[in-house]
Amino acid sequence: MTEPSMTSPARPTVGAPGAQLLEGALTVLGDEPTSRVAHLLSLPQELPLALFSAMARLRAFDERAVILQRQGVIGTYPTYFGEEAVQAAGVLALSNEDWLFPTYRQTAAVTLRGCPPEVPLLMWRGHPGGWHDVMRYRVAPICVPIATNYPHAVGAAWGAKLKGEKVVALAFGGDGSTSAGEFHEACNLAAVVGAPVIFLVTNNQWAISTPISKQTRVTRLADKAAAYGMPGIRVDSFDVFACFEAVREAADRARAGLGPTLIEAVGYRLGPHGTADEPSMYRDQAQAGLWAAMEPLGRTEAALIEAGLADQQQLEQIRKSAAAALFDVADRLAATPLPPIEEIADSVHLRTPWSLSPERLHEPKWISNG
Amino acid sequence: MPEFRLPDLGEGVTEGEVVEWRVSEGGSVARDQILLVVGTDKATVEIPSPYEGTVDAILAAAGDRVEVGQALIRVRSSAMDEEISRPDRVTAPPAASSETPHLRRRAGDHGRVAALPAARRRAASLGLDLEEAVGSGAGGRVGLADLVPKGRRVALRGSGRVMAQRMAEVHRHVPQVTVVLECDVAAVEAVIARRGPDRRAKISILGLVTRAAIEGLHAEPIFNASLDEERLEVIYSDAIHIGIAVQTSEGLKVATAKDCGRLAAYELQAELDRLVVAARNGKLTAPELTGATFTISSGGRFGGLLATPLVNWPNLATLGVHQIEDRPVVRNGQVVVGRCANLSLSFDHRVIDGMTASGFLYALRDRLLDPSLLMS
Ligand SMILES: Cc1ncc(C[n+]2csc(CCOP(=O)(O)OP(=O)(O)O)c2C)c(N)n1
Ligand SMILES: [Mg+2]
Repeated sequence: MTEPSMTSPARPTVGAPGAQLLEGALTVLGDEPTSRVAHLLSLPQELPLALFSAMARLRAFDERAVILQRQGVIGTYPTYFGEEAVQAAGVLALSNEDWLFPTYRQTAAVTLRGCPPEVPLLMWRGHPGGWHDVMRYRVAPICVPIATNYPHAVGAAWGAKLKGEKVVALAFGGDGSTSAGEFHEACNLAAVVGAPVIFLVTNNQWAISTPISKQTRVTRLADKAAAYGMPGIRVDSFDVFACFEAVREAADRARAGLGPTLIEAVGYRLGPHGTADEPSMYRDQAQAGLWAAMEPLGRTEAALIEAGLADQQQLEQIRKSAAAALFDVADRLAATPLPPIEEIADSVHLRTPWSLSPERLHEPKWISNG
Repeated sequence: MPEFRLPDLGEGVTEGEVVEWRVSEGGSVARDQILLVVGTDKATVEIPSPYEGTVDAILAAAGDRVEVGQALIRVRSSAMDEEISRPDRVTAPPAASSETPHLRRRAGDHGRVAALPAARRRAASLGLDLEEAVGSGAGGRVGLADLVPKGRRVALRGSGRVMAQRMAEVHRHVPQVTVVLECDVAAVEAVIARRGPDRRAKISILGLVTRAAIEGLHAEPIFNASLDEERLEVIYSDAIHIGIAVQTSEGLKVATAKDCGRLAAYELQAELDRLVVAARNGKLTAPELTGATFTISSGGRFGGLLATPLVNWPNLATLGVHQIEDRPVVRNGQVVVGRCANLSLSFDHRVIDGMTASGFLYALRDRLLDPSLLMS
């Protein structure tokens, strides 16, 4: 399932749908080779490989999760294939004290803060062991209802500001989420109170089957920032170094008391929306395939080799060991004792509904699986 | 020996089709190696092997429809059997069948339980909480079949409770009888088709029938009276207040057109239209919900061939207007196609006898046969 390595393409093949969106977006990999290499060499020594390793771990998690879904070990799963650069940069450009507010598409982000991957996988398995320690990792529980994590992030950031902490909050989101009321309220309030918050919106041009053209008349989502009186940055979502710069700049501003920033990470959703989605039903997959060249791990690999920071073998090894760490994870998930069946409803309903009452759950048909 | 069973590949998918096998019996298989391709109504996907070993048996052929939980392949393990028995347990979800609803709901959903609109209505009418239903449709969608409250006691609430008490009360009090007549409504329909004076107002069948009934009430005031059961005295009402039975989402409501005995056809029509809309929107005021002296129940397109409307006690009679349709009628010795509807009159037989009731209904029919006289 590993994608073949790429040789440093800076732009997708001509004709990829919406490719013009990348014009003017912040890029490192798209620069001239000399400035690209110079940029990588100017970074702290460990950083380029750390970013690559983080992406490799995210990729390994994602690929394993898709396999586990197909095997029935976990339930539905929203793959983030192609979004690894945004996520790795979003986490690594902040300190471990800063808050992350993920959605359904960034469930492995917490693993970059040290949480074992079994935890988010258990969550997708519907197991209460899937709740990570929010206060320890400073990562909020995921929000599935679109855009609801934005106000949470603003609240956390504003609270930190009032308490005099130098903490930043980063909320992930997608192009579709910018049409939701919560996005507007969160951006407005954040700007008004100068909350140290970063809205990191990945414009992958799709919200399930709704294309961006049916989502908004604003072609550049970052332009929406102007309406709230905050800066908007556009960045190539497949370029981990550019994403890192964008988030770091936003975090610096936030810490300096200059308030929120909207980052639009421009790209394309390379995979399906999730494991229950069939993109060929609503988009031209041949056209979509033209974006495949932007796949971020391959581009990063090529850039690292070009800058002499790593060789092919070393990078392959990083990918392999990330995958190997998850090879047997199904066994570990299966070995996690199942909770008592009554717990299904414990943290969900105030008043346990009749269909989930202990008597009913213990009817033979529910437990035929042993 | 571990068997791999078809998991729920989508969100609440219950079955799929084997598109093709990528391994064959007797061949070896590695973990994560693609075993087969399965198509569901959501997507077509490759299924990687959770086991390593030799393929012992393929249990479903390409082209077969397979249910979630059905065994697809048996693999003889190269390692110890105990070791791989664990993932086997993981991968066998409860067998899905019509008797085995499953809990999974669509993860992308935003709180609202997925349910067919008809199921929502039924849940509301049964007083069931949709949240509590276990959906067996695609994506855990709640269908009508999931809302059969087998073996449960469901408390009647709100309008259901009122209806239960009220109907029993009426039946206890009123020994009632119904007379029925068929009425040719061709002339009524011709009037309905005309435009009113301001070119917008239109008269309805309910308006004409009400107008005709009011004339009957003037002629036969006993139909606009009530009975003092203790003293056995008939109480004639001061005015004509017509109750109109309106089916609403909250159950049947009787909206009252107050003191409408002297209203001209278009005035009456406007008042009825206003009341019907208010009833459907739940906007009737308390006085508009009480005080009827005579009640009309018009079932419209769903009025049925005939029904026996209940007397709206303490009223003494209720008029029913039933479905209009083409029927064979005999005119001048010839069978021709006529536009017909049945009219029914239920009455309190303690006070009104059959002859009086029939007389009221025949007179009403006569008025409807020449409706231009009602338009004044
Ligand atoms: C409030 C709300 N409405 C609808 C959904 C269903 N839903 C799940 S993902 C999604 C698309 C979101 O698109 P986008 O914001 O672009 O994020 P992406 O999935 O592309 O990462 C929708 C509509 C939801 N989860 N929450
Ligand atoms: Mg999107």
